[in-house]
Amino acid sequence: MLIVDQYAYSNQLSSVHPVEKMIFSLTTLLIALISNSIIVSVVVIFVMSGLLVLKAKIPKLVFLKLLLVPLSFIIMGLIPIIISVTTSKHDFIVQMSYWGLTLGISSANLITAVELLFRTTASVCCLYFLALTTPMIEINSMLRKLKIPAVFIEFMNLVYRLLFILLDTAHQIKVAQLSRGGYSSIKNTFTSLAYLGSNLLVKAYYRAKKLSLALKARGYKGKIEVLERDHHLSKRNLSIIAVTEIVLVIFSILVEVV
Amino acid sequence: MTEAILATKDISFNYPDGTKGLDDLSLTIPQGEKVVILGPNGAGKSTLFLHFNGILEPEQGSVFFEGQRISYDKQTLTNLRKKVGLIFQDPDEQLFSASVYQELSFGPLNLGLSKAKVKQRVIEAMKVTGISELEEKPTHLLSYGQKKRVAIAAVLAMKPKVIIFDEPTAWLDPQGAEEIISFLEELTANGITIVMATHDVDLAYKWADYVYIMNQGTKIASGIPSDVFQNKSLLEKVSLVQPLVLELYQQLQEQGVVKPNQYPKTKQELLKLIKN
Ligand SMILES: Nc1ncnc2c1ncn2[C@@H]1O[C@H](COP(=O)(O)OP(=O)(O)OP(=O)(O)O)[C@@H](O)[C@H]1O
Ligand SMILES: [Mg+2]
Repeated sequence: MLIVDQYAYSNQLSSVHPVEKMIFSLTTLLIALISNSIIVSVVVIFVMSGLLVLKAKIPKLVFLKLLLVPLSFIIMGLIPIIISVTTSKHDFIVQMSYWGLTLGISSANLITAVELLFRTTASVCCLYFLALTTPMIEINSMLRKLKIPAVFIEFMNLVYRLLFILLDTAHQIKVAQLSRGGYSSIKNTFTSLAYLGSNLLVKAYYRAKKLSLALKARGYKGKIEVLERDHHLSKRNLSIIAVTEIVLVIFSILVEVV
Repeated sequence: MTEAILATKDISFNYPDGTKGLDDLSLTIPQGEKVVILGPNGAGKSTLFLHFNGILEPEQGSVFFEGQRISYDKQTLTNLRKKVGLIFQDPDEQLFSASVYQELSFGPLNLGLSKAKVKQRVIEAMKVTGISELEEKPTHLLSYGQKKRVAIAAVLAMKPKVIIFDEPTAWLDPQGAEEIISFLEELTANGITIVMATHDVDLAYKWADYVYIMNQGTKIASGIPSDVFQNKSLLEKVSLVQPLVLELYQQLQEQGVVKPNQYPKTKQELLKLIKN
């Protein structure tokens, strides 16, 4: 999360107009979600990770690690889809029977799971594209321009800021613990974690409180306004985005028909 | 110079957002000496310190402890962190416990000491840093200077061989700063090596055995204090000033009031030279 935020500010695409990035990432996301074809998902994954690594210059390893976070959840969620439990006979590709119960994997389920895996990965890539290239403040101000209700935006902001403080505090505590020999054996890994868990909320609460005091001291009245960086819409980028999206749409229709 | 207890060789480090933290930096910390690292804000002092106990790993180059190149496996790091104690610049980043007592016990417990031993160490560390009466207070409710003392005590309680001090006297009241410095003298008398980052040139001049000056992630000067602090143009380049005692001494020497090459460290020493 923290690292995502750092890259959002410092990546090589940070000067591109946020509207362009948002249109690109969200339309591609829509296509990836609607299309039923693995090929489209694979193309989206390649386009998005290619852009992130080659254009935005996000280090490969960092991106892979970030990708692994949601992927591990997705894969766990796929297990019940892949494995079916029945009492009757089926044409499973692999199966095991115990006490009249059959655990098995059918080819249809396997295909569904693989499709789902690729589609979700493609969607995650689209969202990461936006998150890694566009700072939250800019996404916010765009949502404001799109006339999304203020309550919704402020709520999103609040969650984001609190999450940020929480994660940052957790990271700080962990570094402090490591530097004094924490997490060096199994036993003190548990004590370290217990300290972290029991003090995280208190510490984050005080930090958040101080932050809000500091904001008030500078005249904060419920809405954070900062000067935004100047961006210019680029006709070239917009045309490239339009062409890419059209090609993707045509492609997914073709795959569907053929 | 005595044997190096800590050393870096050509280390470079960049933060994830591309900021240059360290740039091809080599330096050695001699065993048992008092070393000061000076440099303007953002020079890379804190970044260097996080390399000394293996929290950060250099992208290029190596860090050495007692002559051994640090490998970043768990065993080596555990061992390193037992011997190299790091006191963070910002105590808010270092403290995490519900009470001062709990905070101080964390490190010694990780050393695998018995409960009785830990208790003894905690009480001792509270005493020398003057925080005994804060024992039960939650760390987040302390004043900044008090937090700084707790942060110092938390590392002292582990009795490391090397203590890395990121601006120990910032935020302390003058008497507190004085106490800490004289306590550091005691530590070095017991053979402990101390590395300190500070912006206080007077302190650096009077206290250090050896001085490094850093700028933009790299070393630009090093030597004994009376040499390094004579180079006015160098000091200006990194927005430092000459120590007051040294500056006065040099001017008095030019006017023939005092003899050359005696380099008083303190006000008292200078006054004595003037009297003679
Ligand atoms: N977590 C971080 N992410 C990105 N850049 C960082 C981070 N921490 C430090 N930096 C940058 O690295 C450089 C060195 O910082 P460092 O904190 O080591 O300086 P310092 O010498 O300790 O300064 P000071 O005297 O202000 O404490 C600075 O340019 C700083 O902006
Ligand atoms: Mg610093």
